[in-house]
Amino acid sequence: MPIETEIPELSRWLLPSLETWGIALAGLAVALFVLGWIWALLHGGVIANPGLFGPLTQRYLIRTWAGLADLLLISPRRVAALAWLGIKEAIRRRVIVVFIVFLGILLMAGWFLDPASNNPAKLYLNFVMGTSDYLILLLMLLVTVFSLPNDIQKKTIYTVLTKPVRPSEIILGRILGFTVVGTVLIVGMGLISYAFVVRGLAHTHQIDEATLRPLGDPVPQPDGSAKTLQQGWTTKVHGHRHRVFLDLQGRARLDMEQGHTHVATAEPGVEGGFVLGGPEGLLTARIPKYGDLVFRNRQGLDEVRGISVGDEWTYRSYIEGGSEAAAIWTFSGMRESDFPGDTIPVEMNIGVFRTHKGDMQRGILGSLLVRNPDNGVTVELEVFESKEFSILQLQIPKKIERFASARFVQRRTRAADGAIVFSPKQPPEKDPGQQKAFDLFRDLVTPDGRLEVWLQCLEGGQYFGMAKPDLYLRVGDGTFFLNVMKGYAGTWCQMVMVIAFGVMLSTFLSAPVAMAATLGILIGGLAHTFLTQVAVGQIFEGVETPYQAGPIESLVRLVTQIGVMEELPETVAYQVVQRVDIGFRLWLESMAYAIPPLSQMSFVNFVMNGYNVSGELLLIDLLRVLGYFVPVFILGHFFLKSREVAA
Amino acid sequence: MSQDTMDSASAERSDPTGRGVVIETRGLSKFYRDFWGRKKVQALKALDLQIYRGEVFGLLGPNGSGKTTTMKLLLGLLFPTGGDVFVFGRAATDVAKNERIGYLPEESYLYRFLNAEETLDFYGRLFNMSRSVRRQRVSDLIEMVGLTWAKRRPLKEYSKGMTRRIGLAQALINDPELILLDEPTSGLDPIGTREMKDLILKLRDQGKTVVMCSHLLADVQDVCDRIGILYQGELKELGRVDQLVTMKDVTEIRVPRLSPQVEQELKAVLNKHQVPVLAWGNPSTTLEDLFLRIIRESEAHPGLRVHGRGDGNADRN
Repeated sequence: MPIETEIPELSRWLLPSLETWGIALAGLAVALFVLGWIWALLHGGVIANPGLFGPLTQRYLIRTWAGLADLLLISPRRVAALAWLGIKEAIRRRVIVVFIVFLGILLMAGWFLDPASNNPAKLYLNFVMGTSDYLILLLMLLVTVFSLPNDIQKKTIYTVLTKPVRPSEIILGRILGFTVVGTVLIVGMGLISYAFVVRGLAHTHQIDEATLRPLGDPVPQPDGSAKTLQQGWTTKVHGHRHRVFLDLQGRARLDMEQGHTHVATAEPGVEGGFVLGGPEGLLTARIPKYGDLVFRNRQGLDEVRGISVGDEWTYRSYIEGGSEAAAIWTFSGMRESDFPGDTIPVEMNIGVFRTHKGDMQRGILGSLLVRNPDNGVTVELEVFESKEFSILQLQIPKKIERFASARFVQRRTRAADGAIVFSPKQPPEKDPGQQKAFDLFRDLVTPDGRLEVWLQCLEGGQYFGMAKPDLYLRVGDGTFFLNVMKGYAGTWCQMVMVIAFGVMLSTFLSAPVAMAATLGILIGGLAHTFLTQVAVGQIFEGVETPYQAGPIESLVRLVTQIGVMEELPETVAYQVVQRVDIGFRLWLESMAYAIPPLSQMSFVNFVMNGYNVSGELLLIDLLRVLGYFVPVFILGHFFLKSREVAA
Repeated sequence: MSQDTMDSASAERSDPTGRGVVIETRGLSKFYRDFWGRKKVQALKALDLQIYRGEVFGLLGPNGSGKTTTMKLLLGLLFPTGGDVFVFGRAATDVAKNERIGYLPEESYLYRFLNAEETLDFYGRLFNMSRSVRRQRVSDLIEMVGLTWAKRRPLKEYSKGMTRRIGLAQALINDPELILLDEPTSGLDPIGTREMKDLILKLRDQGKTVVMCSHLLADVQDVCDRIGILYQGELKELGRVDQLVTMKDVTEIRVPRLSPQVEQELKAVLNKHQVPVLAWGNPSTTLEDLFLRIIRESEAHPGLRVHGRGDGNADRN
């Protein structure tokens, strides 16, 4: 199962995100400045004595300026000392107990996690990474929100604040200290998780001699004897067994089962004559190369999306079988040196929507084509049978000698004025139908490295559904161990967010309230996608909900029994209600921006499905963390600076 | 003029000592508000105060009179509701002033999971002191407060007196010019109290300014040059201790023990001038002096001590 969410790309993500970030930050700064000003005036008693307006404003401006200056005067030594204090405090609070809890959970998990399940690697990884993720986030939440309020309550902060310490240094020191503790815990949990998964899934089989049967007739050998191909089974371990083929050269090959196979080495004397190694390909980190997806409709015109089959989950859109409809992935930056083998593996996970049953035992037939986007030469490589809910791997040979057909295909796009634009305009001079063989990189990849991969459904009345990440070229494999660690880097990013928000909120809230608030941010962050969709009125991805009632209007409808399909009467009262609801929605929308997208920071999905976490994704995560960290840190500084800790 | 910096010229003019003003408050007032922003408690009312370089200043008053509030306002731990407070000519909320300040809070609010060395090293790092300077300062101060034997024990195992000493050490870690002591002698035994008082005088001799607040009047009288007496948030009295406590209409003469004959003659002279005798007899020592003398003797001569002779001559032996 590949990733079923949009995967951000740094180049397309960065600028819009920076813009949003800048606007949000400027808005926040202005709002806080004005609110602080009003508060300073009211608190200074401007209502009783309007003459104080000038002096109070002057004082407020000076204070704000001094606060900004404090931000720049951060001393690394002081921050280090305060971080050290945070670490000491966390150790004193026995955060290590969480480690023991984690080990205990793993011990018991061994009874429940079934290595015989369909995809044991996914099950194991999901479990260990999910458990450690929640443990770490909850632990750091509790440690951080109690720290500053405790210091203030026990008045230990007096001896710190009467030293030349800036509030910013206290905030930064706390966040750093707890981050160090959390990092140590995460690394420890990561190593244990890795060992747990690898050891839990490690197994081997033996070739069961009793099941070996000759396959076909004996083949005479040069030395006069005759040998026969043999087929049999391995012994059953972890709830599965592999089919074995013994060839004429005396080598054994095992079929894939549960996503892995084993290497057999000949060893006379043992049962079956072979020793089998550990599982191969079970724990992988596939490095995919993604292309851009466009659709071709049944008339052969390009479309941004395919058709909807009425599924509420609109992640995939569909192409109709037996028509011109196709899904077109354009890969760019194709270099021969990136693909060392003779073939390029292309993996896909497509959804199938049947309008009639057909033969339920068999998948729907599809066709894989490659096309040169410049001259329109298109080679139909092979017809395949669809496989649902699992990854189908096909090969694109670099030297294409066997293929179904070759022809010239034009792309047709509707321009803004309604005219249809053809690309390319002319067929190539040499008719591709006459060509006997193609060289992938010379004939089909353009000089600037672009290649189109087309997918078509061949059976009328049946549909293939796909989204951008559903088809990719497998560039190679990363190290599984490193991938687990990168997966935990996602957890680390989430943790830093929880710590930063926890410390910031605890500068002005009491410990229990700060805990509730941080927990709210944690939950909102983990449900961030949903939150955003509700806020922008898009419950179903890609579908604009035409009209949404807010909470007050819904309440009014409940009480007055006005049905949802009926317009509200146009009275002033109802208009007020609707305005208030718009306010609610704006509030929700700003919340969606203010709460960090923790769910999108997690890489558990990638690791458990066997996909490499790219450096680009890590960088995006780090930038997200930084983007939230900066305002949260500055807010914390000003909150603590404006707080009378001794009051 | 900016509200947050002091007009130094005006401060100079009003400084009778000529040594410079370290702390100045002008109409400083503080009231605590409830949740709705209404005035709840007026903790300090229009305090005008100047404290000069090199003096030991005592703030006196009963519990709840505003001593600690004043102290916290000076430190910037509280913000004034009205008026201004300047320390070294800067607003009290300015963090930079803390470079030159040492503060011993009412109870030593220290991290109880650290030991003495770690505590002092931590506070030294907050002053951005380099490692070598810190190491030297830490060992000197631990030596000075007499905790060398317990420097590796976490503070939670410390007695109240020991905590007080380490609190004092952290207040002096930066060799401050101005030392604020909140109830410096509370929780100390008589020896510790005496040592604390000696230390305060030593700091004054080094030219440092000490501000202390206390309700142990004897201690204040022993060390303070000037005092202010606060009652219900208002400054009721301010002046030099020696002037304030001198009873100008009473004369006291101290001489070695008089023979009965001299006593007779003196009484006759006084009678002749019609001076009423308010008191006549042998003065008593303070209990503090007695206690310290006994401890010193016991240290010099261990073993069973012969109990006091009860002849009232204790301080002359």
